[in-house]
Amino acid sequence: MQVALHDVHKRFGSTLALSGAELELAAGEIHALLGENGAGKSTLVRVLYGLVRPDRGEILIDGEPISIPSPRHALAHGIGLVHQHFMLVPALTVAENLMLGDAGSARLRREDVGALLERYELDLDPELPAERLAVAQKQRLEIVRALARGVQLLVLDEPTAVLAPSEVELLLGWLARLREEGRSVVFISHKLEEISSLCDRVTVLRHGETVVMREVAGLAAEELGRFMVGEALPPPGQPPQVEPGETALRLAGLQTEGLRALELELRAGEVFALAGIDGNGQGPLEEVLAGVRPLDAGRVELLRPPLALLSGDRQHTGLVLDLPVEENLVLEEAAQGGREPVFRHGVLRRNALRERARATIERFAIQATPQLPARVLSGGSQQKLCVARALAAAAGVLVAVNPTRGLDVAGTAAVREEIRRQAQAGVAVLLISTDLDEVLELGNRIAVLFRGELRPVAPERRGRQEIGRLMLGEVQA
Amino acid sequence: MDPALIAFLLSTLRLSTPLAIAALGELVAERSGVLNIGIEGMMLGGAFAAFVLGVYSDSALLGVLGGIAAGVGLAALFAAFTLWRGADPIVCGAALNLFALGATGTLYRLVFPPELGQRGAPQLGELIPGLNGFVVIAVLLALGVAVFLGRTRLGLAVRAVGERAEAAHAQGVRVLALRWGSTLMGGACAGLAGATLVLWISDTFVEGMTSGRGFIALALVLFGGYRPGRIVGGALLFGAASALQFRLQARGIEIPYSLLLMTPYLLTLVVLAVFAGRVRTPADLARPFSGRA
Amino acid sequence: MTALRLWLAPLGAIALATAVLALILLALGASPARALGALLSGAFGDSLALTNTALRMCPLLLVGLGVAVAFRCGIWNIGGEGQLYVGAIAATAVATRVAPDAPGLLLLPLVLAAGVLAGALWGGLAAALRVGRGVSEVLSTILLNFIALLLVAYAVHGPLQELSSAYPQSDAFPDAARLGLLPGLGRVHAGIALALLLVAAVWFLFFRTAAGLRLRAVGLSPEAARYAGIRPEREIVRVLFISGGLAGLAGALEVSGVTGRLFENLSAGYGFTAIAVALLARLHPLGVLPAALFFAALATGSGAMQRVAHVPSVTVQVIEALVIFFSASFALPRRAGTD
Repeated sequence: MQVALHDVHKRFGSTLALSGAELELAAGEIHALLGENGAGKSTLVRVLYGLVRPDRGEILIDGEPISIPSPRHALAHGIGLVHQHFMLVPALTVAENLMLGDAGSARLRREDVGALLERYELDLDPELPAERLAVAQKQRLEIVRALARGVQLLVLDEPTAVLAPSEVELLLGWLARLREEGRSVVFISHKLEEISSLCDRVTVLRHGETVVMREVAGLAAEELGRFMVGEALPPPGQPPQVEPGETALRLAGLQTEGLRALELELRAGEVFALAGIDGNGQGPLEEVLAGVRPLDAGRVELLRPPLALLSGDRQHTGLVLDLPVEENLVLEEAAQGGREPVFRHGVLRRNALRERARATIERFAIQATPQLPARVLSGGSQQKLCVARALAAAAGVLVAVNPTRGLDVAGTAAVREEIRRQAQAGVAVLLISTDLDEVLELGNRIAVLFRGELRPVAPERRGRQEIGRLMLGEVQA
Repeated sequence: MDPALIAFLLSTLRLSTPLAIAALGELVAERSGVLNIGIEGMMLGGAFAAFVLGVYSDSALLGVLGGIAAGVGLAALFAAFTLWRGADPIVCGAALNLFALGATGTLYRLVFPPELGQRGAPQLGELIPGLNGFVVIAVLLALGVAVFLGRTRLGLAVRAVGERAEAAHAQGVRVLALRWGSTLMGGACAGLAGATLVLWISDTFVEGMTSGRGFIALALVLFGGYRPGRIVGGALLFGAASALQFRLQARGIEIPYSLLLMTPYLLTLVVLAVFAGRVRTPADLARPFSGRA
Repeated sequence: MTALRLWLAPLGAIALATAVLALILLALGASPARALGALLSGAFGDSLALTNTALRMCPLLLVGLGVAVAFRCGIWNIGGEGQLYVGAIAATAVATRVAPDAPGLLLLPLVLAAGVLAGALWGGLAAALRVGRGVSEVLSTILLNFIALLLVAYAVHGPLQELSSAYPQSDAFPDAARLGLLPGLGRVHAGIALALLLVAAVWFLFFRTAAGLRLRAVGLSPEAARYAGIRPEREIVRVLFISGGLAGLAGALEVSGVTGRLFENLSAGYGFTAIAVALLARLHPLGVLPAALFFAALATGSGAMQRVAHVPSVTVQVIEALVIFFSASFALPRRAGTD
């Protein structure tokens, strides 16, 4: 089955996500879709899967133009999509998730579920609620579900972002098997190394357009990088050079749902980076530090207040999207009744508010005006807004959770540079990130979060494979 | 057996039936993610329609059908605004109650002006010897809903839509169609419950006669932990409390009438206070679904 | 959003509702033109009509304000009716039983304060159930409405019943507890001035203070608000106090300024109409002014509509419902979802 997308355009509000993107897939190939965050990769495949309606453009299967108004139609045409953060129903069991589908057509029955699990060597209890599965298991379940529906083209959206290094290898092995069966795979990524080992051809998107489509063989990683960004990718940075100062934050025996006797000491001027697969305690730790989750046991000692938090989810916990930029910036002040100069006796002073916003926008180069609702800002600007808010008061401790998630290369570099600057200025930085590259790039000290506990990584053992095994709990540090 | 006890049990059965029927319909709606606080209005509409049709056709059966039709019609109005236009369901539910109050009041005064005198609706009799038709319906409904939700493919789709509509959509499930269906079903049950009020519990229509039963049904869904069996149990509990209240009134107990009448509402508040926080509601309940971006 | 677009939604909602009503009236054999004409003249036609419209506007303004504030904070306060009644009960208790002989300067403020406090506590009860036990305020406020109605019945048949026990109503308020009338405006009482002041005060609170920013943040994104250090639970309690207090004041103003005594069915469904008011106003404190005027006119005109065009006055509830439906179809300035 040959699938092609031609001249696809899509605008979301003020953002142009796709402007003439092209994709051509041959049968039985593994095709990489490469591009930095915000380039339009997810949007393009969501068009293919019927989740997004393109403003313009056509979809062709074996040369015939077809319409895909919903996932139901995509599946009927044999196209499947595994989302980055999965589309399982958490409260339903493994078996129920497998059986879920278009209610009218002939679908899996309970008896078939067992056979299916066996055939794909998926060692899962069918009655287990999906929310209890590990990340890699959820992914495999999603893939098996798509295969069970007979998809000929399987699209995977950033499948390796959530996996440990050894799990990535397993996944790549699976995909190779699919290719042998004659199916096609589209593999979305923004990581260059994975492309070359597995994929036959690659399409690179930049700013919503297809800039290149060719064979992978013979292509150097830096060429790809240049296609992605339009210029040479900046070399990965180094952790800041520091002389760590006194202890700024001490966590002793933290115990709550998701954390088990967590201990850590953070010193001024250093970046202590916590790696780990999502779901191993990052969320609960963030919530404890934010003060929104109570502890069952243990203590948080903040020895150098205040603590600034750069939340991991800028859209839900970081910003109030429907408030204007200027009001988002003073939310924390408002929580405490308001401080001069923006507030006086609890009353908001408009001029002071606007001035503060203008100054901040300039200092952090945010693409916005003070009165714009945060919702209309780009992802990068929203993140910068969060950074600005976190750094507004001179912090003693900065906790940054996935600070560059979803940002393009330029934005990522800017935020990481800011974090380095903070450390160099003497701030104690705790970095919690599921991006191993980020951890390696910024962390003076590294530890791995596994099932709510910390496993420190010795300085001489900072290899990706080693850390990867710690992330899976395979090695006792 | 003591005749007073028998009377009490029968009274309990009668009073709990409309609650159970309405709550079961709302259960299906809520499992699909639709929160419908307008069942009070749909019940009232059903009561009125059942009354009008019953009186004019002298057939209780037609009255039942009329009640169901009215419930479905009002539910369609609710669904049109919430599912098509994406309007907030709480607001629309409140509006629907207001609408039903005004519409039934208006129509009642037009169709039954005082000059016409009092009219009584025909009563639905026993379907199985000893059990009123409505009770049979309620029992069958409870069993049917339990089987539907737990064991059928369509029921699985309904539950998926209520837990995570976008995931169901990504698997090809028709989310909006299912929500429409479950909303109309909820309306049909509410209308049927309303019919119970004029075709069994009493034989006349009074403006606003539902008196909050729809909201008690909502509380019953929570109380029952979204399980049909427990919902029926809760309905019986409330029916018993109401029956007890009538008993006390009849006995001339020295409690002011108006305070006694508060019993069902107070009981509901207590039940909610105890159970609401513990129940796991469908994760996507009352969250709008956008479909294609 | 330009001023024109701001008005488009409410005007559109009214226009659509009117159109639907006209169709319904035609179907029922009544003349829409006649009915609407009667409605308008009944609301604005003469000084009596204007007075009645103004009098009705006062409670709608206050309760509508409270509902708008609550909705904006993500709190579905459907209990305006009950909070109004509880305020009326408290006001009556103070005026006729607790301190009927107090001097005027003291009594009237006491009466009004009692109304505010009672309404605030009634709202607070729902807040406590929500914050403490996780009970949806939708259900609790509605149930409290029914209970409040019955409390009024109990009061006027019992503890607060007039000394002559002739009718189920309270004693008449002493003069000292009656609201003064506004000079030159017939029976329009001073309460309306208070209501207008409160509209401005609420607007200021909402948009120009840290407290208001907190409330708005909680309404738009409780999670983000929590992370910023705001405690949604506290804000929920505060907003229900404010909302209930405003409705309670409306109740106190009704018994003190309009009826002079407490009896059942005192409120012509103000609590529910207030929801329509709030929505038509797009949940904006200033928008509540024209919205309350609209619905007050509707209510006043409905009597004339019944007399002249033989359309039952309860039909206005249908119009109110339609206005709510159409208003709700246009996106409201708050987040989607309930929790």
